[in-house]
Amino acid sequence: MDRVAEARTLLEDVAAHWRRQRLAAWGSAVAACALFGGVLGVRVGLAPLIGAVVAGTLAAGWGARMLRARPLTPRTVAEHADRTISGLEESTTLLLAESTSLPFLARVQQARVAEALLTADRIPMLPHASARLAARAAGIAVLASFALALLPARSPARSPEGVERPAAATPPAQVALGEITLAWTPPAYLRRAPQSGPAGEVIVEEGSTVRWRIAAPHAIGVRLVDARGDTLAATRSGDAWIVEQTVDAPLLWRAEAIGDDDTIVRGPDTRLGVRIDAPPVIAVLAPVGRVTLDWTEPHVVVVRALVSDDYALGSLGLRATHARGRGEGVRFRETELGVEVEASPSPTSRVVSRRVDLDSLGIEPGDEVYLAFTATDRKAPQPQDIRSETIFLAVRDTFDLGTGALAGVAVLVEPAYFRSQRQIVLDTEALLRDARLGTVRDVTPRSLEIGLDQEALRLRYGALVGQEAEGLGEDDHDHEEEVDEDGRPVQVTMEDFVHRHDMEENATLLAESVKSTLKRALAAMWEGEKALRTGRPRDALPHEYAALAALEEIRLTERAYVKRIGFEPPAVDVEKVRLSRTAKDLGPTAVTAEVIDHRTEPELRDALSVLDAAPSLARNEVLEAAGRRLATIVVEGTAPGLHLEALSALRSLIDGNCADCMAQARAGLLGALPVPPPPITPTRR
Amino acid sequence: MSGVPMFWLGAIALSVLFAWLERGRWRRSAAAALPLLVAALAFPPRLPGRIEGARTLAADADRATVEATTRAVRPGGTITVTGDGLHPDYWPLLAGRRIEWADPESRTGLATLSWPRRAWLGEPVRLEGVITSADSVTVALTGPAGERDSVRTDSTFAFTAVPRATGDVAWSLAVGEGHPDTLGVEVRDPPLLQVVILAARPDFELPALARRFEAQGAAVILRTRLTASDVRTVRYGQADAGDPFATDALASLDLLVLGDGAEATLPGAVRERIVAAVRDGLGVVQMVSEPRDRSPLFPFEAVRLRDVEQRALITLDSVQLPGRVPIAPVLVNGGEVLATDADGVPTASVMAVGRGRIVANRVTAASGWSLSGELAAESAWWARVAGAAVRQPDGQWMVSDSALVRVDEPVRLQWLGDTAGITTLVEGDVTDTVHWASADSLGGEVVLWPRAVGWLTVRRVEDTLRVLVRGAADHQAIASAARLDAAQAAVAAAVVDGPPADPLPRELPRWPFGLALLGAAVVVWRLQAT
Repeated sequence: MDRVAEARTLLEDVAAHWRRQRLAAWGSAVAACALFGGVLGVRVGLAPLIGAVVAGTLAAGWGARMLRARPLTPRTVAEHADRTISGLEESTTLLLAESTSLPFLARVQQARVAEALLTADRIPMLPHASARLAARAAGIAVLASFALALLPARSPARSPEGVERPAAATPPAQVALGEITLAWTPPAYLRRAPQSGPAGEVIVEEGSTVRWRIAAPHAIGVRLVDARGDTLAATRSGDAWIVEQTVDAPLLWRAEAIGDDDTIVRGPDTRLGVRIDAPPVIAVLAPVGRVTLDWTEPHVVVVRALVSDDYALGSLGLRATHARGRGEGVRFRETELGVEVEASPSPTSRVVSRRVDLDSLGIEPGDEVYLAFTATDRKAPQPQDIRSETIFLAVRDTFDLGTGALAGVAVLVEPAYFRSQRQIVLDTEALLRDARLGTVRDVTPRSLEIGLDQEALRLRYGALVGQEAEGLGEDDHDHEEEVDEDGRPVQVTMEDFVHRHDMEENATLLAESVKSTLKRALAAMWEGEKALRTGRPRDALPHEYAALAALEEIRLTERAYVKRIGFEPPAVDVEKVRLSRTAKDLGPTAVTAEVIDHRTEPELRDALSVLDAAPSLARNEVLEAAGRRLATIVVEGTAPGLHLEALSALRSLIDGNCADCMAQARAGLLGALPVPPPPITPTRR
Repeated sequence: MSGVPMFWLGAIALSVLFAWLERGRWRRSAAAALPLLVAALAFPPRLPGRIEGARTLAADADRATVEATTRAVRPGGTITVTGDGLHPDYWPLLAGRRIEWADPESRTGLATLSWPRRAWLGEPVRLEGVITSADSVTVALTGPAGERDSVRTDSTFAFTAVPRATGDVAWSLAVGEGHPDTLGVEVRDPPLLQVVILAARPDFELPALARRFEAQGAAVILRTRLTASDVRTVRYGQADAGDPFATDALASLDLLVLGDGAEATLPGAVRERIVAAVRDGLGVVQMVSEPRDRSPLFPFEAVRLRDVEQRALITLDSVQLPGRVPIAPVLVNGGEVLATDADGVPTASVMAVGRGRIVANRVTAASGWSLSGELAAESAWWARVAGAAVRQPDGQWMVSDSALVRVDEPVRLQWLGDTAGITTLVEGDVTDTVHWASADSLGGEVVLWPRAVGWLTVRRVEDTLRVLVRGAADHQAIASAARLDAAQAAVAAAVVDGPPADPLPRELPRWPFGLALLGAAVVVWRLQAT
């Protein structure tokens, strides 16, 4: 290769070398900028890759621009060599031209320059501004990245619950709620003066007319909202707004003012308590307990009571109910008696009494008189009346059986194994069913056993009516009919057959026909026994039914009737509803019980489940329902103040201007929930 | 090849490349030092470590520090622990070294605290603990509804609270003026039970019991024998319409209540199926009114009691329930006693039969409590008596009542049941699969290292557990007390002989490399400028 070509090649190699170096420098600068972008992205919360790509792209674009602005070609190298190497006589660029295209002198100069270039030490590096710039940029980016990485971390500001705090509601417009005053007038019958005062925890009398006076400058409308959802529109009166309502129950209210631009300013929830007019209270002072008089004693009883009311008493009286007769023949007659006021311990209480002459009521031996004080108050429009506990007065009858008349009756103690007539019927039916099903081939043994039971029962009943005990080796003397000391036949009682839950002295005497009915039952038992003991249980069954029916008849005649005071039940269709002791019409054998939601306070529980949810229309509806329920609890509960804050917090959540109301609302809702009973769950083992 | 050597190779290659590009220009070659310095700054080299004779460990040191310190101390060397000691799990790491530790003279505050991490809605939660204090202090418990209960004590205390709503519930316990501890409890709805009640005759008690089960969401079938041939079946809730005594139905049944005399009304084949089901885990409550013989479904001895009151006061879990209720004049022997009357005679007993349990109940009319206004007593009665028999769930999580769950500290969760299947941990936005630390035929254990404060969820198909994780600053007193106890035990049990430790390589500090980087950058800048 000639020297010119060699020199030309040198220029090209140097240019290429410089291009590579510059590219490497810019590459480092781009990488450094990308590093800086990544670190910056992390610090500002972006993904580091995004920051790196953006910064790297920007740096690469800038670098490409710089590279295009200053191209590195062999000409550039030649020009730089002319400037930096002596002896080239400013002719290095001749090397880039083809020798054949140059004139003679140029060719000679070209050869001389080529020789001088090739013999020079080296071509100094071109101090390209862009490369220096790249190095500077890389250095700055790297240092900045480290500086940024070393800065202390800044923790993001989060609310304690990790919930973004909603934007504060825009401040209300010019509309505002001013002073609210209450004035209330008790009902006329209470004869109390009207009162007034600032809005707060106020308690008024039941039926009072309450008037709210609300100051609301710049409001176009004002309303009173019950926390349960009811709304009362106020009417303008001068510079204030008026709401008037008669109050019969406690309520939780708040005032709302509406502005021109439909902004609503809400006041705090306030409780209005109502003192209910209670009915009078009567306490019987005398007599204490039940009074029983002998016919020979004076028929006069003094009754006394203390009657009181919270406001004022109306009428006072004494009601006497005269009961006469026995068994199903009891008759009642009511009489209203007056009372005398003995003392007035207070303006709203009286001690009243009455000297009751029983003879004036037409009382006879064995009769009873039930006395009860009555009182009314002055509540308008309908007074409340009350009746005291009943005072029982009884006049002992001159004819008293007592238990001595039965002293001569041989009363057998019922043995524990004794079977009843009903059981005998059931056993016979079971025997017949088994015979029909084929589980029993010979009915005779069981029939004999049942027959023995029937015999034992028959003898027992028979002993009570004086029949002889057959086959038992008992005495043979005649059993005369029992008579009392006056010669009258003894009343056969069913004391041993029935379980009396009443006090003996309150039980009425038996009817005369018990003995004859019992004899009829015994006859049926005898027929049934004969059939059973001869192995004919099917023939015995009708007689057993007859005996059972007769015994039931005896039992039913022993009922004692007492007039139900104060309540008149509807007439009962006895044939329809009286127990028939049959298994028909039991109703469906498979029943699906009605599904009952046992969840207590479902509105409050639903609100708890959506408290942490994002604000939405559905969420607000749930919170509104919970608010109404909570308002009811506040108004009617025993600790109303406890839930007012929760109510306010709920309202703030719905309005979206809540500061720290989430925890308060949650606590209030939880506090309003009842304590559930312990569930039945697998015990930990 | 790991990341660090590759990084060094890359840095060296880059440096060589730069040096070659700038060959002959020694100043510019200095720029080649830049990548090497960057690499050195990120991963400074390590020199072989030295084994020391003694070191000091600060209290609350993390596991890595404890391990590193132990390896740096030769066997037989001394490690001095300051403060109230290390985490109880870290003491075994100091094996083979002498331990020097000074017990702090004064200990005040909470020493122990236990509370259940899970509760059913309505189930009383008992929070109890011990404080160490010379004088009485006020211990106050504040509930999620703001309700407050307090006691003044210088030793033990206990509170009972009843959660009113399901979810993640937290109580706050403050001892004196100290920082209150937050106690988290996961409150769940009661499990949906499948119950069958068999009555030999119509009565009031068993339908009332059926309604009680239904009120908590159970599916109940009440079968009442009306006559010899008539049976009425009432279904409550989501009870199935099929035969409740079929084999597959018994397999899913949780509890069978047999009224007095009801067992005799069951056909023999049904009784055998029930016995087999009890061995597989079914629970049975037998209402006892009369003496009766032993049977597979009544493995007790029941004899008549004479001269016994018809109505008795009942003691349940050492607490006497208010109001008297009718009890059967029967002495039931056998099994574990659940409740007694005033004379100590068992009124309810439970006996295990296979995997199931049978309860004998002498209280014939538990409604007597409700009718006399003591609804809570009746609820407590059935919760205890029926709960003792109800079938255990297929699988459930158990957390120790005294476990402290804090960030970056291990928490052990026990699983009772089949360990097949996936266990998932959800912590914030992160979901991980968790593997058993140990497992056997009865269950398994997982060990978690919570990373953030808040509620974390451990989920399996059969059961999902929620646990509240507190920060390192929480439960300080209890953790300190636990550390003190563990430190005392560790110091007493410290053994000198032990395996030799591997010396730790020492890592060179990074600041000289940072300084060199800065210097190199300045040099490069100057070179470029010139």
